[in-house]
Amino acid sequence: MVKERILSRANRDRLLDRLREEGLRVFGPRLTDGLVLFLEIQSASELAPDYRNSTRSIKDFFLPPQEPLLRYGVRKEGVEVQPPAGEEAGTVLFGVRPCDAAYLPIIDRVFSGEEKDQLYLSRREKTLIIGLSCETPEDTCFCTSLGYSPGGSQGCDLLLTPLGEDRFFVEFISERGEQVAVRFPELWQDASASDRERRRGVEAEAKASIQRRVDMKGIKEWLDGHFDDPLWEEISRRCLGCAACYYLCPTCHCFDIVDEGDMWGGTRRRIWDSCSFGHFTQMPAHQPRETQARRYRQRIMHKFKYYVDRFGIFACVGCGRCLKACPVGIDLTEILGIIRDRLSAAERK
Amino acid sequence: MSEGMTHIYQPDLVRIEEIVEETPDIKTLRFNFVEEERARSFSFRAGQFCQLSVFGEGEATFCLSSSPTRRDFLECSLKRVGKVTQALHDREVGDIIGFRGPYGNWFPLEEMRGKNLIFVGGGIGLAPLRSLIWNCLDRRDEFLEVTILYGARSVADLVYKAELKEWESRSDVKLIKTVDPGGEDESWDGEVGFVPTVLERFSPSPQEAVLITCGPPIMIKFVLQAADKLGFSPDQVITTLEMKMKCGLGKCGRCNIGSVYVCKDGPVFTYRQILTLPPEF
Repeated sequence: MVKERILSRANRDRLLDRLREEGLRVFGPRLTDGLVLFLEIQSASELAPDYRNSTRSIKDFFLPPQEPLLRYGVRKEGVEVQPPAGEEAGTVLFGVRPCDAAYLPIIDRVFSGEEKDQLYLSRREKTLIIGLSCETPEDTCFCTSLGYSPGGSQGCDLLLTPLGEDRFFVEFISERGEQVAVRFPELWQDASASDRERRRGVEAEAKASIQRRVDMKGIKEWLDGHFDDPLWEEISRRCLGCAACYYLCPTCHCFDIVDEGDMWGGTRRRIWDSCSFGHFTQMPAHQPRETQARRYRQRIMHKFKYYVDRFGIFACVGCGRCLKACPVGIDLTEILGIIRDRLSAAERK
Repeated sequence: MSEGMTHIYQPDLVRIEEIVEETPDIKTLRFNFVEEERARSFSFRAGQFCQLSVFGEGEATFCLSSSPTRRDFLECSLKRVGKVTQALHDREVGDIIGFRGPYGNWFPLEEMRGKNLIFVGGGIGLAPLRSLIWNCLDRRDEFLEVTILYGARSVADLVYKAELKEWESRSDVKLIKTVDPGGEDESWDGEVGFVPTVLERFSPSPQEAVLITCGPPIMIKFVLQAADKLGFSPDQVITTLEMKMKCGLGKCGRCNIGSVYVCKDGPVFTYRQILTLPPEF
């Protein structure tokens, strides 16, 4: 099985048509009101011609902002509870940037395991991820600091890398990706050694253009020993607790369960919820995270310590959306940089 | 609508069979599964918790307060403190509510065998202990002395009053009941004083003993200190913690204390384990 091929732009368009003809719903980045959003497309012509990354991450597809968990109806004879209808059609996400695709194998660890979240996992199973390497990362991007790359393939089923001249270098990453190769043999051309060379060049160039860098070495260990530290107060003083960072972050996955309706009928929903909010941990007579400093500490700790303790990996892919979206300019890379500085200062002592 | 997708957040339906008004703001609901097959297959262990829901109002977390040895029903005791508990208090016998569980870990019953048991409860914190107390009393031969120290703000705030009487009358149980200073009335024949103070006054021996405590956070804090003073090692002291929870399954991300998820790794912890946690509870 050949893992690499060449796809012309015209054949890329055909590929999307073919997938649609198989009954799959194809979503791709579209420019709408100045935002780049993954929306359903009927043809490749609707794709945003030029985009660096989508405004929102692809987590919306796997953990939607809200989703029904059940519908209930209360009748004289009793209560009727109906689970949500399963989504029937498979989905294709086309043009996913490598950082976004890389979030999937990280967060799969929460939703699989002993108690499987069937809602999340069934969407994972039914979604084909076609990644697209970045050529021009944004100045907020810092994926390389976390060990990812603008040409990385983690989480992708297929990865396309533009080679110029309307050609893409295609890698079939997963079994599901290989099935795509087999289903549409007429679309691919053989890749040459120089194509391979060029593909590496595109990635290397994009990588080199990323200026924002954090040395992550020792960050987790510093967090291990600094639950109590003046840093938390210092960095969170500006935080408004608006949770914009949460909403746009691909790896933020905390949620709430709420009922909507009256005593006769309605819907129980899972909705996004964030550690930025006081109500997140508010109990009737007790609030363990009374201040924004404590809530902000939870955010950093969860991503860079607790997640590592539980799942052995940082819960961050360096997409940079949080620093771009923060209304008061809180910059995660700056915070990680401050921690690094303290580490270096401690090492010098 | 298609068949529908069953998932881990889907509740079982349970029917309320009995309601006991424990105090002005605490009720105990006895309930059972609507589906008989589920009732037969269901089992849990003392210390585990569940999510109860009133459809249209939402879900909330409660410990199971009945004993796993009494298999004909389940019970939760709930204090009216918010939207969901208010709605649960408004239910009547025969009403159907949602149930998910059992979740979390449990009291280390096997490690408690052959030991003196000292239960120290405050307020509604007696609920999880009650599950364990009846569990132990139903296997009474396996344990040495059983001492129960229970206190509340006032006489009116004591829960499980009938059971307190029963424990008091048993020769194989030592019950010490107390109310906070000012909470006594004319007929009160128990102690007067805060639970940790009364614990120190009675100073149970740590020899071959396990101390299991639950109550308001502030009470737990001082009971742990008192136990330390009495010479109990942190391994001999067990408590159960409360944090806000939604899923109960380690997914929704809010009940953690440091890297520990109370819903998965708890709610039952030894004092030694608690000493390793960051002070965020």
